[in-house]
Amino acid sequence: MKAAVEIRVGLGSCGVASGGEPVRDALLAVAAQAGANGVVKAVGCNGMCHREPMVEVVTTDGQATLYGNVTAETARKIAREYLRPKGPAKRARWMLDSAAALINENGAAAEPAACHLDRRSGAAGTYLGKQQRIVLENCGEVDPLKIDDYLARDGYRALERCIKESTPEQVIAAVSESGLRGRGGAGFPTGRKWQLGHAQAGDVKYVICNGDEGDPGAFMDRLVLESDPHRVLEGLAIAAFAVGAAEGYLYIRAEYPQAVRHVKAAILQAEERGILGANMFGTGRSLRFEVREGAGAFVCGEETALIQSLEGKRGMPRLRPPYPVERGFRGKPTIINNVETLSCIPWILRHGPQAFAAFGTATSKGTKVFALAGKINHGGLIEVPMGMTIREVVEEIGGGIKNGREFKAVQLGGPSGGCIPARLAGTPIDYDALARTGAIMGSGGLVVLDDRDCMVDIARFFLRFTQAESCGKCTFCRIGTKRMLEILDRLCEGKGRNGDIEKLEELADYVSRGSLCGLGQTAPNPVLTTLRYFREEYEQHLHEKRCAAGRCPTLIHYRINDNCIGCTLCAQACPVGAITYRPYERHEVDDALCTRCDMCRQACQDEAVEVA
Amino acid sequence: MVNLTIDGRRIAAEAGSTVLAAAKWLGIRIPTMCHVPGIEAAASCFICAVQIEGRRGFSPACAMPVAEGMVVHTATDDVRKARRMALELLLSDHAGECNAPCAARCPAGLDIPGFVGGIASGDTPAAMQVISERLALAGSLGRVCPRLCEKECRRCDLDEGLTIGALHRYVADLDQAAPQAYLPARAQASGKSVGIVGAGPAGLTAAYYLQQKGHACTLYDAQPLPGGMLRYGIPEYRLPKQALDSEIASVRQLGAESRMGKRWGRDFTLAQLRERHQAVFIAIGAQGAQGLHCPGEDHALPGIGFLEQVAKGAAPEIGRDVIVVGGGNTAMDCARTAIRLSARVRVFYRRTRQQMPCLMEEVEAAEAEGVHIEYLVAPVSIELRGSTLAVTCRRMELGEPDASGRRSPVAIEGSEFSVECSSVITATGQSVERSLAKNEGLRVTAWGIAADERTMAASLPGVFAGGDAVLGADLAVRAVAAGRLAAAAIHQYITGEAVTGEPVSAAVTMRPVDDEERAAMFRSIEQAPRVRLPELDMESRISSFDEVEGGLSEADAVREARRCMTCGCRKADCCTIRALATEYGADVSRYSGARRRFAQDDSHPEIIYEPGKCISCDACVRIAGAAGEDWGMSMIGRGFDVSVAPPFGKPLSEALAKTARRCAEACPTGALALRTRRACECR
Ligand SMILES: Cc1cc2nc3c(=O)[nH]c(=O)nc-3n(C[C@H](O)[C@H](O)[C@H](O)COP(=O)(O)OP(=O)(O)OC[C@H]3O[C@@H](n4cnc5c(N)ncnc54)[C@H](O)[C@@H]3O)c2cc1C
Ligand SMILES: Cc1cc2nc3c(=O)[nH]c(=O)nc-3n(C[C@H](O)[C@H](O)[C@H](O)COP(=O)(O)O)c2cc1C
Ligand code: SF4
Ligand code: SF4
Ligand code: SF4
Repeated sequence: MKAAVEIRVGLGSCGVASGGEPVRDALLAVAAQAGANGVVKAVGCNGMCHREPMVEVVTTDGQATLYGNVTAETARKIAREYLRPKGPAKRARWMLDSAAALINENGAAAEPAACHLDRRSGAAGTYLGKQQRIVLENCGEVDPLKIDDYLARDGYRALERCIKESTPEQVIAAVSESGLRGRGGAGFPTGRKWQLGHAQAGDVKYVICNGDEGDPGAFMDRLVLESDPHRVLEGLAIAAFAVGAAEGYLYIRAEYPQAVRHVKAAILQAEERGILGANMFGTGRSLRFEVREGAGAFVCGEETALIQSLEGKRGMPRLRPPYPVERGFRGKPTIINNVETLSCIPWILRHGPQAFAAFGTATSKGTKVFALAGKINHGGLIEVPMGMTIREVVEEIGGGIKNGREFKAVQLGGPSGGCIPARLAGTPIDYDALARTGAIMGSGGLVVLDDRDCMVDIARFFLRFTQAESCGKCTFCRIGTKRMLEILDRLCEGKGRNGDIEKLEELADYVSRGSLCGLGQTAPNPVLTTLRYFREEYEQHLHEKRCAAGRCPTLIHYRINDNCIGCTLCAQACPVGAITYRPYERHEVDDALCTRCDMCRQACQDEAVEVA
Repeated sequence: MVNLTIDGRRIAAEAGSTVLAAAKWLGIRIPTMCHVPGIEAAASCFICAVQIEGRRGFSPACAMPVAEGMVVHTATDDVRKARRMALELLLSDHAGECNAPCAARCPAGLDIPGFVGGIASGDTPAAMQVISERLALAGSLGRVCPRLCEKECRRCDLDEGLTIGALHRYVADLDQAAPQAYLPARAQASGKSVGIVGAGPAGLTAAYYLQQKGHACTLYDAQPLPGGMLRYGIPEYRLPKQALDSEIASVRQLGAESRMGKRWGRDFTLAQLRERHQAVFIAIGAQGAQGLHCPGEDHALPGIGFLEQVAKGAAPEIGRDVIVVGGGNTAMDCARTAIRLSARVRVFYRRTRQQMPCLMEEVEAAEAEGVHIEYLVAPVSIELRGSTLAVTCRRMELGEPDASGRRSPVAIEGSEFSVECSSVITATGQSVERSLAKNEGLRVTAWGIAADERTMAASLPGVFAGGDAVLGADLAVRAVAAGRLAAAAIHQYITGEAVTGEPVSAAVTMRPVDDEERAAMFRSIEQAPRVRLPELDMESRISSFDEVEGGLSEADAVREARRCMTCGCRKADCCTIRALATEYGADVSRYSGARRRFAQDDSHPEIIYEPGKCISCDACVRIAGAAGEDWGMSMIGRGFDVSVAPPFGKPLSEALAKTARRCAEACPTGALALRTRRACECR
């Protein structure tokens, strides 16, 4: 086995949450014994959050080997495999220690081989192999707290070249040519936005990085900010250069403390190196960045609300026009871009716009990061080239539906997005193709649903979120969504009234057309798309008081069928005593007592508990 | 300058101005609520929604800057629907009531807190004026009305409902006793005339309001004197003829003429009246008595005929042992009249006490006077045996509920029994003489003449109908309401306006009210029992036709009036959202669901804040902010539960130290209102 030159341990929020810190300590301890102190490196996440804590070993031949779900013990074993102290005496001692350690640990820990994830074959192979990493290229590979790591990977080279060798016009032209569109949800062409910003009169302009990321289930921006903060700074600095701004803000939600910490550290480092600050690359050009923490309201991610919030006011959207690019922060022209959008910029300028535009479709270029979740075998953060179909994402990257169930739909775009049924899974990841289905690209939530998901309930879940997050300004958004939610509640409780579905549609129509900002305008999407593709489920809930997916507690009943062998497991599992304990006899559920907690079904080994 | 088109008209507007301002220069009115001139737009309420070609959805005109070549539509069906829906949504979350609950229940829509306020402040002439806007015959109604309003009085939840009927009787009696009774102003003679058939409360009321509009009314009635059932049905001891007469005199004084003793179908035809007058109002009541439909029914006296004869001073011979059949108000009146004619009286009713279609007070009064009521008994035949009548009856029991949900009585087999008496009086219902109408080509319903419920228009042009004639035997106050509504529609008809009837303002109500809300409502109200009305002593009651219930003394009337909490909205007459809801025909209950709670902040010397009526339009927040208030108001929370309140729990008096009046006037609802009711000049 080749010796390790670098052992990376994932310590993004997900890595820390899954126990990455003890793993790091174990690695550090072994490395210290081996006299290889610098070898262990804390990195961010590479997107395979379901496999955290992860350890990656880079060997002298440049090969990287990935281990997932690593415990401290396994980490110790991995480290011992790759580390060899220099000098014969030390090495002998090392062998002895290792043997003793193995005896002591009694072999209880998983062998490193069992944790090994092969990048080229198997699940990890399809998971990673199908992806195309531009935004995430450094994530999980660089130490976010070390600017040198970033610099070693050509970091800040694009910025330096812009400042020293290009004009803003050339930069804007390159970004336009790349076809990059905003990843914050609306998909506005970034080059055009910068062009508009550039064209604004006046000396004072601002750039803002939108890192508010409030969609439930989305965490791509967090991951990039945590794992590769310099990349975002470089993107924002290039934006500032292109439009002529000398001040920039990174608005990051306060629930992302690690991201805030890393970005603040990165700004200090970049200033120390003369990359940011008063004298960029010795050119005398100045650029100041500041981190502002968002108060955590979803709507503060909306650009006009974000600006209000930055100005110290209540985060409430206002009518556009005027757009921020004309009148934004402190009334001055302001360019706001999303974290992921900005993260594409250094790559585009390093590899050339054509390289970026080579990925994707006619109107959607480059890659898109998604948070893949739901009833899927492998979830996590993925970055795929535009144009890939939903089916490829679900079946190949995601490894298909969990437990062999039926693929029903994907929910794309979170609370502003919609549900695309399995029969349209051939739809490519493309702004316009997705919009035609009624869903949106959105900021990147992608939840896979199976036949046990109730579409009325799904719509209700997202609408409940938007309703609670409405800033409360617009009549339609504040009250209209509430009335829609009440109808969905009624339907799910079997209390639907005649005309409810039509009322829902009518409200959805006017809410989307009568709201000021994107939140209200898109809030009805989850309802509208599920109505469009799964109307019969609404009708079942309304007319038959039935939830075919078996999700809505008041509409379902638990029954025990002939498969029952009288093992009593269900009766033991039931927390309310709705199943009488009757060994060797067929059991029965008392519907009046049953709370639909599903414990019995989960306990049964013989598929004898049915939901109908 | 920027050129744009609004509703097909071109205008050059200054760059930076809004679509709203540009429309205003063109004289195109776009409704607004959250807009405060001179203060930065919020664009929150969406009532100013317009459509702009090439822009998705609706745009708020108040904030939308004009742009070159912009094409704006301000009044498409879609725009109107969006505005209506916005109003309906806002009002679905409104913890307020435009009208006091009592007034909302009054069939004539009397402004109860309005006139009661007049009594409380000692200004009875003002009270009389308020009353006469909605009611004719207020003194008579104060005596006989079942007072549905009193049961809805908010104070019922605290102690006892206000005695509203006695209070308007007090005002009317005082007015009639004055040297010059109140006479409403009359418009100049219009030269048009209206023929009114029937001088009961419906016909008299129509004349009362039509005369005020300058139209000459002629009342045609079969009876020798006007008043209808108030005169010939309701007995003297409940409504003295003298009180009725003085009120009818006011109608006469306004100029109405009457042709008494003229019967439609005998003395004239509808066709003739339509020739003679520009419009005709039919108010013939429900004067036909329904029979018993049993053998020997001819031996029985119809109740209303009996009462009429008594009223005319020609009481028929009924003997000393009377059986009254029926359970309604007419039955009680017959029984109590018979008692006063020195008879022993039994009432036979075929259902139970709970089902009696009359006021419990009447039943109790009858029983107190010695009337004996037997329930679940129905006569099957009457035989004359010499000078006495033998009535065979059957016992009944309640069967299955019928279509109306009422359990109908079924005879018990073999339960027949027989009783003797000197006479039988039947009070088993009245009917409308529909054949008269049918013969002259008017559409009829199963119970009366067909007429529109808003305009009272019948099926022939220029013919209107109302009161018992349309509803079947009903209530005097509904007849009065019908007369007033008909007058408004007839006025529209004969002056060539669109016949839409009296304008009705949209109104929200607040049901159900929970305990917390009740506590908030009664926070500064002390418990006080309702005033008791003086009653004639029992001896005089059963030996004369003197009025049983007396009027209120001045002290009692004022004390009672002061119990009124003046419910309803302080800004009912100048509330923007209400006016717009009316204009756009909003259905205030279309989207009903969870709503905010009633609460009241009266800590400010000048204004009162009811957050339950706030529509989160942000106007006060912006006004206070622009004026540099130390605290001002702020929006709190998110989602449906957003509220507007002083920040950090500051008291309202500190929050709006400088701008209270300004905010109250700009607030488009009754949320922020000046303390003094109706003092607002915002309209
Ligand atoms: C005994 C009794 C007690 C009642 N008690 C109460 C009570 O306590 N409270 C209450 O609110 N209501 C009471 N009512 C009901 C109330 O009196 C009536 O609802 C009300 O009078 C209806 O008014 P109106 O104008 O529609 O009809 P009416 O009062 O019936 O007046 C109709 C008029 O039309 C005239 N007329 C009828 N036919 C012709 C014709 N062919 N040609 C010309 N003129 C005609 C009649 O002479 C009469 O003057 C009582 C009714 C009765 C019978
Ligand atoms: C309710 C709402 C929430 C939003 N949240 C975010 C967010 O968290 N992050 C983000 O980048 N954009 C968000 N946006 C989109 C921004 O308004 C804006 O379009 C975006 O930041 C522009 O950047 P882009 O052009 O790079 O996409 C949100 C929009 C709405 C309507
Ligand atoms: S649409 Fe909703 S979130 Fe957006 S401004 Fe209006 S009320 Fe606020
Ligand atoms: S308290 Fe006065 S205003 Fe309120 S319901 Fe009673 S009578 Fe009407
Ligand atoms: S209280 Fe303020 S925010 Fe509420 S409706 Fe009135 S003016 Fe608008």
